[in-house]
Amino acid sequence: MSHQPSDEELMSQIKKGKVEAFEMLFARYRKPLFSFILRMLGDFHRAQDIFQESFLRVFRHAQRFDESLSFSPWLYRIARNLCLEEIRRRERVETISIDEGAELQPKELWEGRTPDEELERREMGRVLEGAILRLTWKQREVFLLREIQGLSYEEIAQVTGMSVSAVKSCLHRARMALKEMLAPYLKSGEIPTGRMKR
Amino acid sequence: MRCERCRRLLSWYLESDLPSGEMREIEEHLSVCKECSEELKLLEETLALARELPQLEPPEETCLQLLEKVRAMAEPKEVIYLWQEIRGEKGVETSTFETGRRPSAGRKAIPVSRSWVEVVRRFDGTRWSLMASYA
Repeated sequence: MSHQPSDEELMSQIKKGKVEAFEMLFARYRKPLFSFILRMLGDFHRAQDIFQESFLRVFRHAQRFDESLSFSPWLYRIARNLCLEEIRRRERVETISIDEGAELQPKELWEGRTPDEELERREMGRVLEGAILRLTWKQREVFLLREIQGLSYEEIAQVTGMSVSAVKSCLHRARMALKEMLAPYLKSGEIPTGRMKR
Repeated sequence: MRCERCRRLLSWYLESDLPSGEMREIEEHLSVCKECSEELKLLEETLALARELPQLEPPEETCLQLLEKVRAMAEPKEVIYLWQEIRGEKGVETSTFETGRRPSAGRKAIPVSRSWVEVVRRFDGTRWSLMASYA
């Protein structure tokens, strides 16, 4: 069985300018990072730009990475900071309050989903995607990092710069808010019709 | 335990992230309170749905563009030199500025990046100086 280099070993190779190492790391994190960014922003086109910029920064600033630390929090921190800039820019332009939960319309979140997926779960998932976008950005990032990307509390604290206890509180508030938003659909089993805007 | 307090702690309860006494209190409350049990079920369903959400694939074109940019960044940069050749005698000088690979020995050469934009030559009465600015 061939040895699979760890993320940190790959970063060490990237520091020496090895593009193959970058390609391996990119293959590992391509989908998780794009999912995180798209769900943070709810905008397919901006998500692509920020996705590209995040990985470019990984390559460009590889020398700044401390190999004694984990790679994934470092990567998510880069993407998270870029998302935050975008959310703040959008707030300035559109004068919406991100702290109160912006009414962001998800765009193309469901493009390309497999047609044989169970319809009801898929539609309920769509409702959940919309609800996630209605969380405050702080709640959203913590919820996504924990529940979708599977980071530990300590890793989320590294990404967000919050304390572990603040991360936990934020996550619990996010969960309860989502439960409240989904409760009418989960209780009745009725799913709102109409697709998300593209 | 009151319903309000129980509901506030449900998310922590799910992760067993409470002191054992509080965990027990919640369990006891849930065993007798249908509404709070229903709330717990809703929370569990919400989290189950979230964990089922698919990881989303970025467009192939976006990935290809990115990899192309990274490969271009990784290519070794050719160092370009700006060099000056001085001809003439008795105070009458003609200088030629050229860019290219390392000039032959004996010629004054200044390594510059590919993106140099301007060269300014100054004579202070005694000697010429050369200033190059880069983009």
